[in-house]
Amino acid sequence: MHAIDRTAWRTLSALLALLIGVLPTFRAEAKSRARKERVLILRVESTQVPDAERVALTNALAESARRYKHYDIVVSKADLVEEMFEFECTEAGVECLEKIGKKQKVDRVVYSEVAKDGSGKLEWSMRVVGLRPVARVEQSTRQPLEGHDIQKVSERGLLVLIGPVDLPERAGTPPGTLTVRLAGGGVALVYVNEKLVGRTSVGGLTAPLAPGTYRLRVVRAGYKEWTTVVRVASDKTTEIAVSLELAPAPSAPPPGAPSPDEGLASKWWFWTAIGAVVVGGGIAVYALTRDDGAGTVGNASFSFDSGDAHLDPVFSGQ
Amino acid sequence: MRTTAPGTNSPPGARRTARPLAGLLIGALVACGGCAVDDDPAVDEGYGVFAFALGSKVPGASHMSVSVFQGPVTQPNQVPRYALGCVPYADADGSVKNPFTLDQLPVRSDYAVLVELFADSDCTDTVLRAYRGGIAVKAVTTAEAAEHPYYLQPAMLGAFTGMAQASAEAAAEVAKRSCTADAECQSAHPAAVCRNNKCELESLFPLNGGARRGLPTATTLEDGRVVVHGGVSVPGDGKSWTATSQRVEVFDPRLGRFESPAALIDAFEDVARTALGQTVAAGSSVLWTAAGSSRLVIAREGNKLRTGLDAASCTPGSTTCPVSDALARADLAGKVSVATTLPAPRGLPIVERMVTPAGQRLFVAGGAQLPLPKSGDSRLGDARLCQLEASTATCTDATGLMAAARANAATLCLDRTAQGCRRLLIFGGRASKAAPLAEIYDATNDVYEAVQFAGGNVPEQSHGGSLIALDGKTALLLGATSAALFLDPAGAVAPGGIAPLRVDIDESTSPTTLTLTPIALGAAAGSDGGKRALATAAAIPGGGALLVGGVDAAGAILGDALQFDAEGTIVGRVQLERARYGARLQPIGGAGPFGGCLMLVGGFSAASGGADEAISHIELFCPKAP
Repeated sequence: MHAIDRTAWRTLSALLALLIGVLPTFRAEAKSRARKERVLILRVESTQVPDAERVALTNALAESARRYKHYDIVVSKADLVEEMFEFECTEAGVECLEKIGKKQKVDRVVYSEVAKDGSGKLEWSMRVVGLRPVARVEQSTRQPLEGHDIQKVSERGLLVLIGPVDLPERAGTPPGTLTVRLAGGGVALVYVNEKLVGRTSVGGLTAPLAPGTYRLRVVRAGYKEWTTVVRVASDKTTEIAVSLELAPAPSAPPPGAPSPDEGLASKWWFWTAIGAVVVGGGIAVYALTRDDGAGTVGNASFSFDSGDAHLDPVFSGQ
Repeated sequence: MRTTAPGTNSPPGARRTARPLAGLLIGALVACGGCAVDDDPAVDEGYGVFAFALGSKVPGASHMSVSVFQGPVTQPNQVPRYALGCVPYADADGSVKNPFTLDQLPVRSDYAVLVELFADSDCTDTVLRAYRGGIAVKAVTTAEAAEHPYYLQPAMLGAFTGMAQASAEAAAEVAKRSCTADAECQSAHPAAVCRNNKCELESLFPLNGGARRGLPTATTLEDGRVVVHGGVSVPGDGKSWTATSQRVEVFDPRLGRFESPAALIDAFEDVARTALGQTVAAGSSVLWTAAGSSRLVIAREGNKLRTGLDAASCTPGSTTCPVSDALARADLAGKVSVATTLPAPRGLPIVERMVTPAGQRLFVAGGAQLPLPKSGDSRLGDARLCQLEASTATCTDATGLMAAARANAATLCLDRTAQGCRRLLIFGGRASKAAPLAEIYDATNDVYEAVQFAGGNVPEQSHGGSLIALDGKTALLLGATSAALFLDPAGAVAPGGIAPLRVDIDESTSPTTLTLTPIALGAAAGSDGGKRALATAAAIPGGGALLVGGVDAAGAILGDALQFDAEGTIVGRVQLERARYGARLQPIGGAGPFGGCLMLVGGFSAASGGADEAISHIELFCPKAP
């Protein structure tokens, strides 16, 4: 490739990256220069653990949150039930959390609760609700709690919910380039800090990134997930070669287990489990609920059934 | 069932049907580490969920991917803004059809959606590709959006796939109305037309061709768009046909649908309203066009074809001659000029964009003088080199004459540059068997060169057809006939299809040597043996060629295509959705999802009443990756 082509490609890639939000940290930093976003950490809810443990969990979450220097962290001073009572909420849904968040004049609200999972073990469910442009769940996660350090669990949870603690320090410097190649054929998805940046194969995927440290994750159906931490330097290319290992085949259901058409099949989480087993690691829909600066969100519907074609918006002047 | 996605306001029945697949995705989101969307049962209430319902089984597909782009897809590995990874393409209970919905996308009007189905779990062996650009996401509910689903044009790879057609229900609803004008039908559906005082939902333009076109013209522009114009559509006394009143349609692969540029339609005059016209691309939005006839005779009579240019009125000074004498330069940006005219109308001349020492020129050679004589030969041997610019239009005579007077010859550029062709092989189209069957026009030196043949297998006569380059030294001659269709004074003649020939070209000899070899069709020979009249052929981008439709020796319309690989070996037969002859096969350009596919435009097909009809239906052929 000629030098001029490479320059043009870099420019185009950088523009594309900015457009599609490959560099979420850029966006966050740009916001921070104008005004730090305010994040409200609600007290942890649980009927499964004693109050003292609940307080300890809240303190751990608050301490983890305060590591984020690019956010203004606000920790709720009251139990959630008291806040809900004030707004006459019957459940801690999006509407209720929106009201609580608006009262505190924050941009995001982190709600979490500790409950037992299907096997009777405690897990910490967390959710962040963004208030702009409309209130909606932005991210959520479930972290196993039993036998784990609650401080580290809270850090992991916040990483998923609101991203990494550290931001690139030199956003004005030229970006670096990360190239990820997949050995052995096939196609895998590449995530940088949990953002899908594209598909890679033996030919490799090249992405421009701001200088900094990133968590790189490569996933392919039927193979073990591959992760590492990479450092990308300004105006330099970091090349990563990935060789994925085959994952063990999922085991057959035990005799007598309910079929998908009965019992468990009517529960949403049954399908969650099936999905995780069948396609775990090979699938991602990303950014559909993230705040990417759009003022309004909307819907569109598609079909490639010719029988629907006469309904296409081109025929209704839309 | 149109909408089965479990989004906001989905009907309860639909929610139940779609739950397994929708849940599959929700679960997968959890599996990817909480990278998106809530893991709460409240997702069914409709915030931030990628609702999904795809259960209609596509043969051979096991996995799929869905990608959403901001702006059109113009590159093979373009990074999507939103992407579903490689997921199983599950068949639910058979009641779920194809619609699906994206919720909570930022409102914009320039999304593109690409759905691909794969035969393997790695999502590398593509079975089907469906695409649409120019999609608007609006601030409406899921249910409201589902009322008007965008149609993603699918294309099965390695097969012909028809463009959108009206559902039987929609067509039946429109057909209940009587009418005297199209406007009276369009309250039933905007695409409905009035035909014989009955409303018909015949074409879903711009999701399919909008006009019936027999023997249309199609041109691929450098930016990938395909310009379709001309063709006859109106039957007269059962044998003669008149050109369509519709002028120009442009297929834009970036949108996955047609456009109808009003400026071009208004300005293109009647130059674009001819059948058998010839057009060449001269830039990203410029095309040059020449010849063509606004009236034709074409009819199947048993095992014979009656064809003609219907040019009896073409006496000197006539203003009613249907054969065009115009050369036009058209710019899709809207500037169109009827640049100049030939001294007299010519039937079926040789037309090519050539590079001469003076620059690009439109080479117009030979053709038949009109009206056609009852006997003898009216073909011409001279040529003109025409400069067609936005502000100037002039023609000069090429030096010398062709070694044979020719009309309706096949051509092959032996030395092509970005500016046009330097050396043009001209094959067939002669009336006299004593004249050379082929020759070469050298535009650099403005001379004609002789050609010699080695071996046997040289057809006594060859008219029309397509010479398709496989590489610099080999070509295929497809769809030629021994009958001089449209120029034979006898009128009804046997179709005379010539079986596919491999043409090896050796330019190291003097003169250039052509060696013709019949191609063994094996089991693909079928009843027609590859002898097809009024068929259409084109190179498959990436290698190989297709010979599509046509009429066999018995006068039957053929409903399949012969596919050849990059070496010219027969691959097999590929079925069409609709049997046809007099169609046009044209490559779609660009590097997007439809780039490298072929578009089969119009033609004639058997109608229910026994007579043939011109058709508007368009089919796509997208090759499998080599």
